[in-house]
Formats: sequence, C-alpha cells, structure tokens
Amino acid sequence: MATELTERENEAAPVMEVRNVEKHFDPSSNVIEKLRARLSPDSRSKIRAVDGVDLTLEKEQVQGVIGESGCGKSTLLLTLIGEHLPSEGELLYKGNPVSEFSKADWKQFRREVQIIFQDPFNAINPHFTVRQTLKEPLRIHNIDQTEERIREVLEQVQLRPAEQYIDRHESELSGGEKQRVAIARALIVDPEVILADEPVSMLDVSTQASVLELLEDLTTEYGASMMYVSHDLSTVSYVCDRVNVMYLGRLVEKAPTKEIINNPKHPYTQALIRAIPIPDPHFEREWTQIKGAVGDAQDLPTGCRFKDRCPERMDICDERPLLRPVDGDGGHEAACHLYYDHEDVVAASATDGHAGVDAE
Amino acid sequence: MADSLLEVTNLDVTYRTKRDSVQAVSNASFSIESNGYFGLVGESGCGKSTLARAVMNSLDTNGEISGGEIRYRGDPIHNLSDREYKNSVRWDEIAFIPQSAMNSLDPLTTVQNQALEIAQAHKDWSNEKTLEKLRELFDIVGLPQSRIADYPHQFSGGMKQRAIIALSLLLDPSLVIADEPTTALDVIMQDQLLKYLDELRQERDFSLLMITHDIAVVFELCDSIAVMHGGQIAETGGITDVFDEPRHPYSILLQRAFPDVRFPDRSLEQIEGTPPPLSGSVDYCTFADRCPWAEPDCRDGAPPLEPVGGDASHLTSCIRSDEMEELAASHLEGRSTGESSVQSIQGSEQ
Repeated sequence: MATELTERENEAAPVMEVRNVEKHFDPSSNVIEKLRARLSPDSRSKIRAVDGVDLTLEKEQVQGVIGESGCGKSTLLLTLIGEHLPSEGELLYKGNPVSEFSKADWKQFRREVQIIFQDPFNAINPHFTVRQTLKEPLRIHNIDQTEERIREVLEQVQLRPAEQYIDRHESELSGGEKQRVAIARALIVDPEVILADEPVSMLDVSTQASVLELLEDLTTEYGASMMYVSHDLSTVSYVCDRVNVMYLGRLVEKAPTKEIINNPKHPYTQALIRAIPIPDPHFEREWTQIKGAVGDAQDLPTGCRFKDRCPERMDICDERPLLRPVDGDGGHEAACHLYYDHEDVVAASATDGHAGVDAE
Repeated sequence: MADSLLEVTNLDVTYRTKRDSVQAVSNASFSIESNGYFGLVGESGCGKSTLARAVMNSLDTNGEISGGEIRYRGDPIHNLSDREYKNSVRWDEIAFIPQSAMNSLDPLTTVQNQALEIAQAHKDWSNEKTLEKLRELFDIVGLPQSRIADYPHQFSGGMKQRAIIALSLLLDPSLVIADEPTTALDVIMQDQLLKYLDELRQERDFSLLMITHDIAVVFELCDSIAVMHGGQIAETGGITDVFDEPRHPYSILLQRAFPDVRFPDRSLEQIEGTPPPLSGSVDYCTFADRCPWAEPDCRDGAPPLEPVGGDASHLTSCIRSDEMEELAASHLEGRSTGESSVQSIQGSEQ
C-alpha cells in the first residue's frame, strides 16, 4: 500500500487548492440524446457549471465564495469535497492531488474535510437522537465513541447543558439547534477543513447571528480552515477573511473581505454589493441598474460572461478577461477589461487559446 | 381613521388541534392606508402568514377567527362566507401572492389562459380586453409583452415572480398581499423586483401588505411596519418612527440582529431562545422568556397595544415601553443615521 496521506503531507502546501478546475455536466436525459451527444461531441451542449477556477485555501483561513444561484458555487463546493470529480484541472489536498488518492487516502480525506449543508431541516436523520447522529461519524472513522467527546462537542456548539439535548430527536430541535447539531457532527471528527454551503440562509435572523459567531469562533479557536459559500455578502462579511466572487462558472474577483466591500472593481461585484438592502429607512439606496437574469450555463456568451448585463460593456468584452491583480490591498484580483492594458490581453489570448486564470 | 383601506382590530386566530388549541394570532391590530405600503415582519412561526390568510379568508380548515374584526373600506370582511368573499373581494379588491409564488402558477396552462380564467370568473371583460391588460402589466413589471403566451416553465424564477405580480394586478385590486415575495430570489433579482414594486405605486393607486422576515426590505420599500412576535404585534407605526424610536425590546433587538453590509465590523445582536408554544389562551407577553428586561408582571396578562408618547400612529405592546429608551440605551446608541462607513455603498440622506 502507498504511504499514508499523513506521511506525504507537505507542511508548506495550502490545505486545499484547485488548479484550473472545470466541472461539466451532460444535460442529455435519455439514451438517444446520450448517443447523439457521443456521436457528435459539441462542447456547447455541455453545462459548464465550473469553468476554470483557481483557488487556494491556506491553513486557518476562511474564504467565501459568493454569487447568484446557478453561478456554480455549490458545484465548486461539491468538487472540493470530492463528491464531483473535476472534468478538467486538479484538486490538491495538502499538496497531494486527489486523483492519485488510494482508498485509505479517501477515507482520511473524508474525515478531515467536513461539510455543513444549507438546509438543517433535511440534513439530519429524523430517526436518530442527537447522540446517535454524533456517534455515527465516530463509528465510521473508528474513533473512540465516548460520551465525553459527544458532550464536549455539544458544549462547543453551545447546546448547553448537553444532557438536555443529547437524547432529543430532530423533531424536538428548533432550526438553529438543528444547524448546531449539523455543525457538531462535522466538528466531532476534528476536521481540518469545513465546507459550508449557505449555513445560515434558512435560519431566522435572531439565530443567524449566533450561528455565524459560532462558525467564526470555531475557525479561530480550533484552527480549522473554512470555505463558506453563500449568495449573501452581508453574512459572508462577518465570517470570511477573503471573498471570491463567482459568475457563471468563473471567478470574476478575489480580494480580502474588507477590500471587496470597500473597493469592488468588477461591475458585477459592484452591482451585487449595491443590491443588498440596507436596514435603515434614512439611507436612500439606488435601485439596481442591472437588467435580466444570470445567463444560461448551457449557452454561454464568448468572452466575458457578464457582458450582456454589464453597464460598462466595451467591444473588447468579447475576449475572455483575465483574472489580474488590480490596485488595492492584499492581493486584489479582478477579471475585467476595465482594469488592464488591452494590448496585453489580445496578445495573451492570441498565444494561448485558453487564456485566462492559468495565464499568470 | 376614516381613510384606512384595511383595518384589523383586536384579531385572534385559533387553530384547533387534536389535543388543544393554538392561538396563532392574538389581539392583533393595525391598519393600512390607501396607497400605503405596509410591511409585516417577524420570525418563522410568529403568525404573520396566518394573519395574511385570515385577511384573505383562506385559513386552513382547523383555523378560525376567534375574536376581533377585519374591515375593508369600512365594511367587515371577516364574517363573509367563502362564496361571498370570492364574489366580492378576492382578486377584484384584494389579490394574494402566496409564499413560493414561483410554484403557484399552473404549470399546464399558459400565463394568458390563467389570466383569462381569472377575468372570466370576476368580470365581464372581453378576452381581448383581458389580454390587452395583461400585456400592459407585463410591460410594467418588465417582462416582454410577447411572452404572455408562454408556459410557466419557460420563465426563470424572477420572471415567474413578476408574472404572478402581473396577474395579481390584473383586475385592479386596491390591495395586494404578498407573502415573502422576494425570499427565493437572488439579491440582484430581488432588487429588480423591489424597484418595480416601488415604481408601481407611482403608476397606479394600490396598497401593498408585504409579509417578510427581512426587515431591511421593509425599511427600503414600505412606509409603515408591524413587528410580530409569538402571535402578538410587538410594535407598529411609520418606518422612521419604529426605526428611530423603537420601544419594544423585540424590535430593538431584531434591528440590531440584522446584518448591515455598511458596517461589517459591527457585532450582531443575538436573541436567545424561541417563542413559546402558544397553546391555550395567550395571556402573557410572548417575548418575556427571551427578553433581557422582562419582569414578573410581563407574564401576568397580555400587554395591550398602546400609543408611544401619545402618538396614535406608533403603537407598542410592552408594559415597560416608557423605560425602554433608558433600559436599552446601549443597544440604541451608535446606530447609523443614513451614513455608511463603506465608500462603495453611498446613499443620500433622506
């Protein structure tokens, strides 16, 4: 058997990294369509849910991915957890490509990388008590299933006193408590990476704040890294160090959270931030100028994918914009023609048909 | 208040269950002015949707209005039979946009045929007149006129939502009740919809009762608000009154719990606990168990909805409302007044 993943760990490598990862889906739903697709492969008929994304998650870092529904953020998350294998590109965990993982590596990966789902109402087995829910991962990963560990993790997620919750069934918990149990289930195996898919969007505002705070504490106190996916920048800003903005399968902007709120560069990011309602009747926000909806992932425009809705559209937007550093703090990058020399990009895309994020 | 379009007075709604009864709405009072936009906010289970269903005369079969009254243009509507309500109020006067409106279009019928069906049931319009109206409304909500003949699945989520709004306005109702109309939408789509709703009131004379958990949307779109908790109206009034001088602990805390993208560094308020189960008769303040300022008296009798400082348009149901400014001082200070710490989000002060 190959060396254990732990022994091959590269201390300097980021916890998780995706390099130019793509995930395409075949929309054909029956045998005839599938055959037709195979006989005449036409790339346009594929749904390009994630299309050339580079991301690096450092140890103890919390990164957010924001975008509207259909932008590919959930697909990206499922690719990160190994649920979808990338169609192109590579997913690296602690410097090791998952494509070379052995069965044992996968098991270790599945212990160290945990996911928290959007909908706590359907994420927990209704027949299980809280104790059984929390024992299950310990049993699967052959970790001591001690009562102490279960109680300890319940305390961590602020379900106190633990005795009051440990024998309850899912139906006896409120929405916020369910999400805490789901978080406890992820935490009980001491994960290195937590992937969270809109973890507070189904919760009431009064509980939202406490779950956000809990997630933030967990990453700062227990040294886990987190990838937080959401459509809502106003909650992301409370948890994340860095934010990545995604539009139709591609990252259009990356920056530290404060920087992206203070100084958004990409017209899409600007629109996204300006569309957030402000809870203050004295504040006169202008309604959005953006028209239409996110395009169809099956029929994508060439060049910039936001161009048809963009207020700044130029001729050059028919070329694919590169994710390039822009003025600003802490590694701010944007993929927009407004921010770099056009002669460069024409030259770059001429030499490299697949110009883009990998052209750095 | 003679010019009130909808007036709800001391309304109780009770659901019968096998074992006992649940009082989902207790002693609720508020009124909507003609051409007013009214926001009803609260957490899930607070009774806001039940209240809307009571106004729509479409409570579930085990639910009934057990006290109080609902008046529309001065006439009581809470005691109408199903048939009377259908003939004289629904669609013509009050139209309803249900929660998850995106799934409430008939998937097997084109939007124009659904419009014809509605019009035939309530008006003696010619088909051409109905379709002409629908085209006009599609224009107003920002959908291409040519698409009235489409099936619902040919629309995106946001377009379906707008198609429903167009249908709800078809018979020129004076009041539209919308239950979480933007919740399923992305921020940009939500903003597009809010923009249309905002423009609509300049184009036609109608009122909106918007039910939502999102207090930010209400502060941006509506002129009046009611905050509900555990079946009781905690506070109601003009949005600036409720924002500037909140006098119920729940509306104070709720406002501070809401994330504000202008202030990413501000810590969010947490409201511990959950509302009580509301079984039997609710003769206590339903917020008392979660309230940092509760006293024994709060559990002794339901607090009456009373004017704040003699202002009949701003009401709150807290027995300590007079002291609240002092008690909650630390929660009220440092609040924004139209400014943003973030340069990219600049607005103009009202």
